[in-house]
Amino acid sequence: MTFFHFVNCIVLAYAPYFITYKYSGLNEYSSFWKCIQAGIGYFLTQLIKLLLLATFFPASDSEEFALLPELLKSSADFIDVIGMHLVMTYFLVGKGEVRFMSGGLGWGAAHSLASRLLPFWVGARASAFSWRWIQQACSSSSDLIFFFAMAASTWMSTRNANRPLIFLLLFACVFHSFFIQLLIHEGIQSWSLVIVRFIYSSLLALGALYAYAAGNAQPKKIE
Amino acid sequence: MEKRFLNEKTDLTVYVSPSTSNVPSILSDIESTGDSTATATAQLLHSLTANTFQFTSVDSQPADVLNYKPNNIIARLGSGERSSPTIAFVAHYDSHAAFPGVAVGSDSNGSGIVALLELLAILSPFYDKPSTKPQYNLVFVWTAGGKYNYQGARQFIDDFQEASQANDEKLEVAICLDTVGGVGPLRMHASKAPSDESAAGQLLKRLKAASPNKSIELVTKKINLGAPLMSWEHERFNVRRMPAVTLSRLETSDQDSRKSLLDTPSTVDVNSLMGNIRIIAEAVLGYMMPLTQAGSGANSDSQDKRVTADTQMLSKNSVDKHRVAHYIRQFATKPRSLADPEATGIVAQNIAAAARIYAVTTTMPVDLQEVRVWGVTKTRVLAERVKPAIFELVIATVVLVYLYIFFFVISKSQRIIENSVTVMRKSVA
Repeated sequence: MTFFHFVNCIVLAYAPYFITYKYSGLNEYSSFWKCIQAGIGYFLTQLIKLLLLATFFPASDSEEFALLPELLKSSADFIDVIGMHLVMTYFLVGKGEVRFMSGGLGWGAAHSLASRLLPFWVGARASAFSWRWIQQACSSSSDLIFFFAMAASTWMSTRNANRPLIFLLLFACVFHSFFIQLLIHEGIQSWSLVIVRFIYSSLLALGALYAYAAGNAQPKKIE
Repeated sequence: MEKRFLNEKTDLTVYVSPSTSNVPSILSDIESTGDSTATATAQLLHSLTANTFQFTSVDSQPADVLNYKPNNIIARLGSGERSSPTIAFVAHYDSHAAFPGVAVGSDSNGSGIVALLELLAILSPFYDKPSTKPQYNLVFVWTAGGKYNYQGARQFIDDFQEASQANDEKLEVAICLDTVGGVGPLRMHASKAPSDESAAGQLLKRLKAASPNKSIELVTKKINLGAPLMSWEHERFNVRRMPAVTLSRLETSDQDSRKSLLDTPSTVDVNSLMGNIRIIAEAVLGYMMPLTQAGSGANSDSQDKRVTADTQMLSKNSVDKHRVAHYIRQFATKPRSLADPEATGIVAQNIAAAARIYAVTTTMPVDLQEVRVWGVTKTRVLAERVKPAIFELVIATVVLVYLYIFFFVISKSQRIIENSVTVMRKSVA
């Protein structure tokens, strides 16, 4: 609509990342640079993922949503998990919990930057008003929660006793985008989609928290 | 309404749009904004959040005076002798209205285009064989710029007179067709009552004879040389001392339907149009082949009972309904304003292509004299839902509140997570 609207959307989308870094206590343990490294890791992973997608899933001509190909395509999001795992194992140092926190934050910020900044610049400054941009900015917050959960699950996958739960969570993470696509295809749109995204991410985060609590309880007992 | 637009001078640009699915929602939004019966609170709230609209026209071509030359399309059926008299059929092919970009002009003068093409199709077989060739040259002229004081007709007359000095061609009569596609009597417009011996008078008789079920009326109107615009196309011929008449279903030339948006394909009645074409074809054929007329004893041949009994020259199906319907679809359903060079060019090409099947067809460029035509008949207008500027402030406030809550949650998050982890551990254990 106007530049002001653009600023509104940007603030709504990216301020949560900043607030999270600044006030969750993360900056006491991990430097800003670590988060940026995680972001770079995100971009590298996306590059590899795109190459793989282009190789194995040539773009079909039809724009329509087909269930099976989309399912197969979104299975390529496993690359994300692998990439995240590598980033957290080799780039980030420090205590485990701090690692996945900064990893998730950097990863999420990079994702948000990559997928929203340009649409905002083009769309939100257009003179026609649409709720779409505000909604997109809102779902950026749920993405933050989602990537925390994903990073936590990835980190726990090699360390946690409760393997089945972890793999269930990772599965849900991988097929997150597929799930959203399916919902859009089923006709869920605008605000309800934002709410559904938030609920899905929150459930994942709760699951991860539970796995963390339950999983870490047992090794401690063994010790 | 449309007449007011034609006569009023506006400083604002007025656009018309076809009613698409989006239009009702825009209208309802605008109506709710203008609603003054609501309470003060509702109005205040409305002024903060209501949709307003911003209209922008996208194409920004300057509206310049066009200086292109539209074409007359001329099809000839020759008797083999240049010196034999010529009958010209004339119809202008452009359309016009207050909003030329959407005026399809189906009856005026789409029906004229169609009638001329069909007449050409009917009459051309007579010129196939030397034995059936009438002793008349036929010229079919689709003229450009008819709505602009018959520019094409003027050009055609100029060209014709120039050529006739060289080859002794003379015009017996010009029959102009304008708005012949509707129900109602067929009227012959002339600038003075034709005498019985003249071609026009003969034609009138034959028209009457050919249409027992339909009334043919003669309307005479003196040419007003002082008037800025000629009323009918035949006046162009008459002022140059060429005999001409106009056939139309309208009573006067200044009827609104001749330059209206509402002159849509539904105004054209295929059966009446076909009936009119048939009557004209009969009359002209009867005139060209000196046939007897029912009821007239002037000709000595008419004493023969067998001939007078039937003056029908054409078989029942000679006016082809499919062909007419096709011509109507092709020529009478699209805007063809002179102000749109592209549309004019396309329709002229299509007419020429259709006429070329039956006769030798040429095109002649027309100089536009005395008139200036301004271009740009169409543009794209974007209607955008826009929120008032104050609404941005509202959103900004909401965003800030949200961020504060977020900040609050995050700063407590460490404790919340630790607590919940302990709670969960307890519940697991």
